[in-house]
Amino acid sequence: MTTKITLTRIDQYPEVPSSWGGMTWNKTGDWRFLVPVFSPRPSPCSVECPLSNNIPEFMARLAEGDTTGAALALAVENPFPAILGRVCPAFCTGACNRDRFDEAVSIRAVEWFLGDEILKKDPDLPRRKATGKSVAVIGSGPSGLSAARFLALLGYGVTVFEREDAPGGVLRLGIPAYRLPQDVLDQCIDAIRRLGAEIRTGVTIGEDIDLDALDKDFDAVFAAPGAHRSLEVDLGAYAGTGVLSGLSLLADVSRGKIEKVTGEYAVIGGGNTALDAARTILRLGGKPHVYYRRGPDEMPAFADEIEEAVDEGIPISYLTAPVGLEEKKGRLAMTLVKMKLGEPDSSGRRRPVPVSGSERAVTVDRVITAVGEAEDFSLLGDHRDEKDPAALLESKGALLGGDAAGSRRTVADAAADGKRAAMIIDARLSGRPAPDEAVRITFAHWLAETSPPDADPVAFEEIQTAYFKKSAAYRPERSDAKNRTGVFSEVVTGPDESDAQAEAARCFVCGTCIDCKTCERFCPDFSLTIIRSLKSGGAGSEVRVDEDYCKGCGICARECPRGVIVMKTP
Amino acid sequence: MTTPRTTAAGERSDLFITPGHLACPGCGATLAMQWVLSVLGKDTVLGLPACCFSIISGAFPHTPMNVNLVHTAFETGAALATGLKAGLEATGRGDAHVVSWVGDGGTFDIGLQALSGAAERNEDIIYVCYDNEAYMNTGNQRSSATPRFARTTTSPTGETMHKKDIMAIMAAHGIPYAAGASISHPDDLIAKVERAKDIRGTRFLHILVACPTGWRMPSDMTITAARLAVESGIFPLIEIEDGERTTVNYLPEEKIPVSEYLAVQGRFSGISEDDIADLQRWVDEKWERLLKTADVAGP
Amino acid sequence: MKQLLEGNHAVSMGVLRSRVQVIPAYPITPQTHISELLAQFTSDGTMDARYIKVESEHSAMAACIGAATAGARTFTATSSQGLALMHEMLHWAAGGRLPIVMACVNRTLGSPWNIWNDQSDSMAQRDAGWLQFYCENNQDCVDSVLLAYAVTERVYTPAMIILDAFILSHTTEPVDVPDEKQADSFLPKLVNPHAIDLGTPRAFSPVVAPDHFTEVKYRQFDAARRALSVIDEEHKKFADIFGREYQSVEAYHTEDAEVVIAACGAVCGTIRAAVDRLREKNIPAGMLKIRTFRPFPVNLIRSALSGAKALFVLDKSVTPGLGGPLAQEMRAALYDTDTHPRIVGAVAGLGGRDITVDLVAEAVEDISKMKDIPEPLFLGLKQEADKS
Repeated sequence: MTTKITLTRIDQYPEVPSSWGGMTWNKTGDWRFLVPVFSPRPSPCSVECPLSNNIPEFMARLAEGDTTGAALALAVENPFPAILGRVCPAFCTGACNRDRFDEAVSIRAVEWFLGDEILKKDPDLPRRKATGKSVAVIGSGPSGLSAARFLALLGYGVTVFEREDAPGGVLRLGIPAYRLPQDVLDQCIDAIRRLGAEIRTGVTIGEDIDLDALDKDFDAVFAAPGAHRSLEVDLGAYAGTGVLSGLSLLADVSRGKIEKVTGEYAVIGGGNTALDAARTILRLGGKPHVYYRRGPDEMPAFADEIEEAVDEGIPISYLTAPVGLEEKKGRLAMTLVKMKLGEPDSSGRRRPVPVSGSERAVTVDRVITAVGEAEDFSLLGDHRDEKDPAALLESKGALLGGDAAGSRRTVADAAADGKRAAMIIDARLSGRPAPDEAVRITFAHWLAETSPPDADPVAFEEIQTAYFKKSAAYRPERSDAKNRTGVFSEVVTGPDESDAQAEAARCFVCGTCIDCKTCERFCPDFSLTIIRSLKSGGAGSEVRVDEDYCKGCGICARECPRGVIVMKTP
Repeated sequence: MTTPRTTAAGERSDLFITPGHLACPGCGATLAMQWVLSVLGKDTVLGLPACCFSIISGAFPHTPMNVNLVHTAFETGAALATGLKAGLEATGRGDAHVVSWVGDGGTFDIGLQALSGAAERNEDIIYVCYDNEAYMNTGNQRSSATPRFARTTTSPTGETMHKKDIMAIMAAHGIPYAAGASISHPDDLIAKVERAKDIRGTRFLHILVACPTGWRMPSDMTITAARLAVESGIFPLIEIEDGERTTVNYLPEEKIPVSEYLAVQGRFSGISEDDIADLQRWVDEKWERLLKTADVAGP
Repeated sequence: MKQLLEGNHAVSMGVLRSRVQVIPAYPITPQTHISELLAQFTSDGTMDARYIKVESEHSAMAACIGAATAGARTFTATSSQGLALMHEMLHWAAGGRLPIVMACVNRTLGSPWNIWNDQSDSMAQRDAGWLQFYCENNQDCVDSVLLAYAVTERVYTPAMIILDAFILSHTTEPVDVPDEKQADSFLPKLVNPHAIDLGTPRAFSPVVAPDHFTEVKYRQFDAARRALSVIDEEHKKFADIFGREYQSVEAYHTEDAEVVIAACGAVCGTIRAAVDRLREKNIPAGMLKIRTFRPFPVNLIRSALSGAKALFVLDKSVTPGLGGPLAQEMRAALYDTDTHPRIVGAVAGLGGRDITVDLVAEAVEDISKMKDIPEPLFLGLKQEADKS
């Protein structure tokens, strides 16, 4: 630091007029009326992700070539990215800021690649040492598995009670192998077992073991019994055996009980279960035809599922619903009516209304119904029909989560429920305050006992797109529709490392400083320093402002590619 | 959350211009100075005629500069540098770089004679014109570097003449190296200084330095405005070797309309649609001609 | 070694002997021969210096400033329009305290065009802060270069040596050119502690705000004032080595003079002859040659004129609205004394008109008879016809 020179006598002046003193004593920080504030913030993708995956961090790490570090960053928040990378509806991509620049980042594809890497490399996860306490988890679907995994990481002994003979819940029984290979599922479950969670299959809570017994033997209980009671379709007076629920079909196929089918199948419904059933039937030798009572815009199945089904040649009749079924010469005659869309119902979608006089009949061999699933509270034993099962469970000290708790019915939401349950249980058992429901808390923060920044996610307008070149998003190749319908192998495969890395490089890394040095480089007063994070990709680096000199010009905030600096009044 | 503080800026040893300098908030010239000197090093003497930097570099007895700096009268940039180089050579320090650091006024207008003289003699100097497109130090009067239609205090309804083609003038002198660069593209700028550093003879660097004060923009728009100038083709990034071989260093994937560049600057406020179209035509014609005559286009 | 040299070439020889290192120069009649001989010396290896063919005088002085700031011994030459063009940079060099030496070959300033000799160019620069020395003959010219460097490199004030166009510049006289060894013993290599030091960055000639400007200027003023005694010392050193004595003010028959004729430059030779002629007519005249014009040697002038009753100041330039500059300065020098001779300011030789012995002698005789003497008195002006 130089000091200001004061000259008060003529003999202090040099012979020749030249300046020799420095000017760092001149604190130009006095000039400013705005100050740059380093504001690491959530990215919109992470906010939309039910699991709050730290997407910017794993993208930054992978883009820099650190596959291991990226995998670890993902694994911290995500209990089974190999599964979610294959089946998640990817709410993240819908919120991706890049979509307003060229094309949204194929986040799920990168997750898929990293998920498989995690299975291969089995990284050591940050965890707490054993607490000596234990937790019972009911159900080994995605919610239960997730809860078990995070409870194990928090140092709890975990026992999972699964009714079926094999663990996995809807992952095993509801999602066909061409979307989620069984060996991938097995590897994910094994990874959770290796963390110390015990899974007891073939045990039905509410029959083999009472809920109260669990309450006594364990320090906490988490119930994730799922929603696999298929809703019925009103087919008139028909009482025969020609109607099967989509879930049952898929479960039987998964168990190996059905290997071949023949004949024409009418599949009633428009969700993933309906399409999964139809595509499974096709692969088993049958001829499926999907009937959905609303239009294509209302169809709830995932868009890529619908595309693949159409590619496979499965006919889908929209605005059509069955109203009756009867046996006819060894086959089934189904009466269909046309529907039109009326006012919205409780789900917000327009209610289908039959068009009178539009009845027609089709002849089929079997009918598969997949019009929705209800929760299963058989675990409550005699209280299975309880109006408020959550409250009853709560009174017994148990938490309810997953599809049974009224979530959005996706694997990701279920897994997120399980993660949150693990944190709530940990709070209860360790005397910590419970995680704030309004705050999107990540597992990383929970372990470190820190709070995430309370800020809105970075908006597209805050991204400085000048530092990015337009490019197309990674699109996986689908296997040829002609070749795939006889087999249950994956229709698409995940990206290889170089494709995943290239896609990760498209991520703006909204709201996380990665030490790109743009702000440092363009500061006209040389007043910014970046303290590089120890993580590769620089993710989580910190910008420091020398407020002695910063004139508050705002160039740093405007040029930051990822909106990490915000100008505020001091 | 509060921003983490550092008091390290005043202690940095890599800076040739330290914080505490008197540039306007958002000034692009200080960046250019630091980048150029970071390539040339401390054995450099700057010759500085009247321009913004005369003030930025502080008043007696203080200076934020960490190299020797010789102030001089407005029109004498290249002549002073000529003498500095000769004097350094005569006193056994001929390896030191002599850099003329001159604004657009001191280059395009009042200093053009001295520059032409030095270039014709192929003086061994690096002449850097940092161009903010007007006499900014004295309050934004027009220079012959002011683009057509820009408002300045002496062209209050919009400048009537197009910007003088200084690169063509320098090329006509046949000097070994002339280059156009912008503060928005620092890697390109620094590469050009690296190239210039190893050449003997007159080297001319024309650096576009956006000026939020004079261009009437908020102080955070400096880099963005300079970048838009490059992306619209109104300020091409080029090199001309020996007055003959032209390389276009940067080809925007899609040249943006010049109106996008004009829109962020208050000095073009009120420009009519016809005038914008006029300017667009002028830019397009010049760009086409540049691509036709260039020997190399693209990196 | 004795050579026949025109004044310009005598200057060039002085520059050669001074081991000047950088010469930025731009031609103008009548200085061009100085530069041409230096161009020859620097191209044929006679001189180890860089000759820079600058594109104007303004750039010549700017280049001199650059070279001198870098610590090199620097020289240029000019006249008239060229000197005027340099004006801005003369101030800059002086304020920058640079030891530059320049030869000014006195030629009048246009408009209208005139290439011949008078002192209007150098007189117009008397406020620029340079030391100014007027040469009387070609020997003076070669010696003055060495002396100028010796002085300027002690007081860090640039110095101008001035010689008359054509009368000296293009007239050949015998000149004893100092040999190298002698010159080197008089004038050592330049080591300027104020020059650029790459290891100690400074900003030269920066903005100096009102709070410091007076002191910086005072330093400059004080150096110019000190210069007079330094000049004296160097004159003595020079005399010891070369045997030729120079003085800032040189008196000829002033001890008992009633009328002293004062002037600068080659015209002093003519005035010496005029003094002799007047004395033959029993008019006790004397001459005071002002060799050092800046700093103006007030005390030396006062002591030399303590007995004179009349002072006839011969200016070879005139300031419209005022009169002859030397006359003004002489009047000012003598005001605060007990010596108040009658002072006549005469102007002659404008634009190269010849000043003869007769012109001077007759004018001196005439003033003793004149009642109302115009101020200034234009000698030899083609008068209106006598109306009477």
